[in-house]
Amino acid sequence: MLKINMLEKLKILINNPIYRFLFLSFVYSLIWDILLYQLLIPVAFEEWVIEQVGALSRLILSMAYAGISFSNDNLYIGGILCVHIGIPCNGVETMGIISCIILAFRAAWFHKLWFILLNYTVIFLLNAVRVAVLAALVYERNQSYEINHKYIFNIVLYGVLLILFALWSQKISKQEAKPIKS
Amino acid sequence: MEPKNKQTRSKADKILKILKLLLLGMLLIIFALKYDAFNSYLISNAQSLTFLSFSVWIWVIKILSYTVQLLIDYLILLVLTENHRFPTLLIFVSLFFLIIGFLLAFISQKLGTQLPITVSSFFVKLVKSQVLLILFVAGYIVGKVYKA
Repeated sequence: MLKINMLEKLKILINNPIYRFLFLSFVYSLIWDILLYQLLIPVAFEEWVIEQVGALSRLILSMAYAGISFSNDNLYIGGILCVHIGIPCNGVETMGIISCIILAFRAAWFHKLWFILLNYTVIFLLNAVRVAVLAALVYERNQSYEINHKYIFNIVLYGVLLILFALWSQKISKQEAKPIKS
Repeated sequence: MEPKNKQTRSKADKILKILKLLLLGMLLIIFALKYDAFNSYLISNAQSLTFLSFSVWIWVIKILSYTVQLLIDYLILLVLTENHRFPTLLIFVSLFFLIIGFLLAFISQKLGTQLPITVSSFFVKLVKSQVLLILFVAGYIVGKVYKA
C-alpha cells in the first residue's frame, strides 16, 4: 500500500512540468560539467574563445583609449597590464549551463537550436564588454574592480539570460498552444 | 471598471516586485562585500585560537559561509516567487547536494582515489556558484509559462 502511494506520488512529481524541468536541467548540468566540459572540450578551444573575447574587448576599448594591445591572454592599456582572461572567465561554462536550461524546456528542436545560438552570442558580447569595463576600471585605478568582477557582472549576465529565457519560453508555449488549421 | 482596477493593480505589483528585487540586490552586494572582509578576518585569526584546532575552525567557517550562501539564495527566490514553498525546496535540495559533495570528497580522501573529485566538486559548485539558484529561477519561469 505504502509502495503504491509512493509510486503515485513519484508519477505526479514526474508529470509536473516544473519538477520535470528541474530534474532534466539538473541531469543535463551533471552531464555537461562532469563529462562534456571536463573531458570533451579541448584547452585549444577555450584558448580560441579567450582570443576572440580579447580581440572584441580590444576593439571596444580602442574607442576610448589609445595603445590597446592583447597578447598571451593579457589586455594592456598604454602598456599597463589591466586584465588577464583565464579559462573560467571565457564564458564557456555559462554557455553550457544555459544550454542545459534551454534543452530541458519542452519545445521544438529548431527553436531550441536558434535560441542556444542566440544565448551564446549574448554571453560572448556581454563577456567582451565586461572585460573591457574591468580593464578600464583597473586603468583608471577605480576601487570597484572587485565588486564588478565578482558580483555585478554575474547578476547582469544571468539577469539578461533569464529574461531572454522567460520571453522565449512564453512565445514558444503560445506558438505551440495554437490549434493547427486543417 | 473592475478589470481596469485589476490591470492597474497587477502593474503596480510588478513594479513593486522589480523594486524589491533591486533593493535586495543592492543589500546583498553590500552584505557580500562586508562578508568577504569578515571571512578573511576569521581565516586570518584562525591560527591564534587555542581552544579550537585549526581544522575544526576552518570547518566552522566553511559551514558559516554555506549557511550565508543558502540564506541569500532563499531570499532571492522568496522575493521572486512570493511563496515560501519553492525557496524551501531549494534549501533542501542544496543541503542534499552539499552532503553528497562532502561525502564523496571524504570517501575520495579516505580511499586516495582521484575519480570522485570532479563529481564532488560539481555538487559543491552547484551551490557555491549559484547554478542551482539559476535552475530554480528558470523552473519558476517555466511554472509561470505553463500556468498561463
